[in-house]
Amino acid sequence: MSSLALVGAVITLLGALICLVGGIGLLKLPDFFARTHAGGVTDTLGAGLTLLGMIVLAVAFDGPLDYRILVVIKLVSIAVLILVTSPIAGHAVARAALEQGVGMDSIPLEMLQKTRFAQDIPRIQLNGDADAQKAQCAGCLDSLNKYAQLTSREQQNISYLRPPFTESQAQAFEAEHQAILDARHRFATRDFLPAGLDADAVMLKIVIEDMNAQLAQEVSS
Amino acid sequence: MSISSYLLAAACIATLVTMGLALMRAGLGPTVFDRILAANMFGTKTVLFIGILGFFTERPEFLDIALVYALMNFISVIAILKYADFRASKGQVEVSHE
Repeated sequence: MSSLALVGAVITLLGALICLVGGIGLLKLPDFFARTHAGGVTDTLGAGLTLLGMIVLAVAFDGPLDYRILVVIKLVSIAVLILVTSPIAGHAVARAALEQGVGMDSIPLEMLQKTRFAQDIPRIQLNGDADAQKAQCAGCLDSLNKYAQLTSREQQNISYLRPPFTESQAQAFEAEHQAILDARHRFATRDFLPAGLDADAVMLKIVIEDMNAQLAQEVSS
Repeated sequence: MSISSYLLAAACIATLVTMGLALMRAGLGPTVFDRILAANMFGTKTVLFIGILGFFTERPEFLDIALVYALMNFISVIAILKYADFRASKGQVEVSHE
């Protein structure tokens, strides 16, 4: 083979070895966020170098020119895709983990109290012991059961109260819970309309108005 | 076999080993986000592996498959991340153990 093919193969091997270093780092690093660094950085560099080596190989390939150009175009598009999407995916994973409070137990307590995870400190201190977390406050078990029975939409609406782990959160949850039950009852009995209206009549009226508007639009056009 | 074939074979093996390491992290990882990260890395290495294999067997037509899989990998990582985030927000999933 020509020397250009040799150069291309060497660059490809280098890229694959960098990816291997990233894989080793993924296993051996102690913390989650360190692993995102290992995964993300070596992923983009290793993938870029590997694809660059393959571009050089494709140029050194013996074949018709337009075929080689096609292969190079495909390699360039794969490289652009990976270089754009891999950091986005890594950022999304890291951000979601931050929102869920992963790895907060390696941060000193006084720093944590100044962040928005201050309300999660009891949970973080008991990290990993679900029973201890749940038994931490006396009135929490009832609140936890009630929280688990809400629908996901309702849970998202009161997402500022996580599953209640402290006394204050349990009390706040009880106040909200009654409001949620009232809202559910009013929706089920169609109580959300102004006094005196019939729900079916209102919906029928809306449908008839829509049809009139559509008819008028068709007549005018 | 020429030298560049040997080098490409070494690159193939390195990528395969990296995929195995990512799978180990996906099995070990204490949090669910470790596993998602490992799955993302596994997908990227699959794309590279298909490419290297294409050049090793002197059939670069495999690059079409690699391009499609790169897109699918990204979309699937974002989708499973949304699902894991959703379940963790409901409080049903203990993030540090799942």
